[in-house]
Amino acid sequence: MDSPQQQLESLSQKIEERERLSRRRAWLITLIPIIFAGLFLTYTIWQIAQAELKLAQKTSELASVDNEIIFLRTQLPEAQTTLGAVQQLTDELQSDLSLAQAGLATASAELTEKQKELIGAGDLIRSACSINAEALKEYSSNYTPQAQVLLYLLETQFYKDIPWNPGGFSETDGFNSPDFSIFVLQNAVSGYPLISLDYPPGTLPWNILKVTTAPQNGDIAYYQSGYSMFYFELPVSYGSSETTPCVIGMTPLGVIAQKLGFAQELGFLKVPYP
Amino acid sequence: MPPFTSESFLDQLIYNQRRSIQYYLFFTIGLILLGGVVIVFAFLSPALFASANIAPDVFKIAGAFVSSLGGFQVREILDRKEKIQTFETFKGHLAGLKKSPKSERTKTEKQFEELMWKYIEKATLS
Repeated sequence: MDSPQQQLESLSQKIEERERLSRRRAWLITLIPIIFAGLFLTYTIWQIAQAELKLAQKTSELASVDNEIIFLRTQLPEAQTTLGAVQQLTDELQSDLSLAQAGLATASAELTEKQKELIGAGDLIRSACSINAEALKEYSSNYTPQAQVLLYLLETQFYKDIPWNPGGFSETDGFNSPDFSIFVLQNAVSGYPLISLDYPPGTLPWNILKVTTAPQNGDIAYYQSGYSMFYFELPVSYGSSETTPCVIGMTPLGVIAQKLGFAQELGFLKVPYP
Repeated sequence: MPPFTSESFLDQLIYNQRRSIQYYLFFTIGLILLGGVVIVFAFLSPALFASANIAPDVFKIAGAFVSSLGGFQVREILDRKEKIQTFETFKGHLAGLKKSPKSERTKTEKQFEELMWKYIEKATLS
């Protein structure tokens, strides 16, 4: 058993130890929040630094974009000028294109018309009536008014080259089909017009001649298409009694001889031969 | 080392408590000064923080936090002051008892010392 003196000394040492422990605890209690705060602060600073870094990058990018915008703004007037020139050029090209399209449309229409004419010409050529000159010699030797009309027609077909002209009324200017018939009736038989010379251009044969259902050589066949052609039954060959019905008159190809049924005929007109 | 008596032991306890108060006082002042230095530095050198991409306000808050930790030590100081006052009271009472006649004081002194030791054990070792 310790003496009271020893007990007091032991107690004093315990108290001293207790105080030292208390001081260490005070340090610990103070340091722990400081350490945590330091860690949080470091993390916050790191985050701020990262954010600042990103901000700097974005600012740099923004500055770069600003520079590009400024550069583009300086280029803008020139670009606008170029654009205006291009626009003007485009307008001109558009105008030229419109003209070209109009020309193309016209050419296309003309081509279509020519194709139609070509098709018509092809039809006429396919329906051509071949004339045997040797056989024709005997036929025309009797020199009747019908023969004279035939000779006149053949002469115009092979030698005079009279053009198709709806507005003309002469061998030089040309004719349309009815006017050519009128002209032939007035002039083919020299000194003896088959119809009055008073009939002006534009007179239609079917208005002045009588219709017949039994056509003879030299009569006129008229067609739905407006053709007015002279009807002849021509010998197929020399010395042959076989004949082929042909019509001769003005067409867009000039004066030609066609087979009777080359187009839809409306009827026949009786020519008053003497 | 002189032999311990109740009075000398109380003196020793009071000395220890005063030394602890001194220690905590310096500790508190150190923390407050440390926080203050951080705050002042943040105020005076914002350019330094700006160049390091750190907001000075963060350091101001950190300084304030460090300074506020000093407040925890005040409790220790006040606690020890109370103990010192108690020990001083014990000491005065013992001195009063010693002046009274021995026939009167024997029982009272013993009761008082028992009470005092209980308090000392509780106050210093608990």
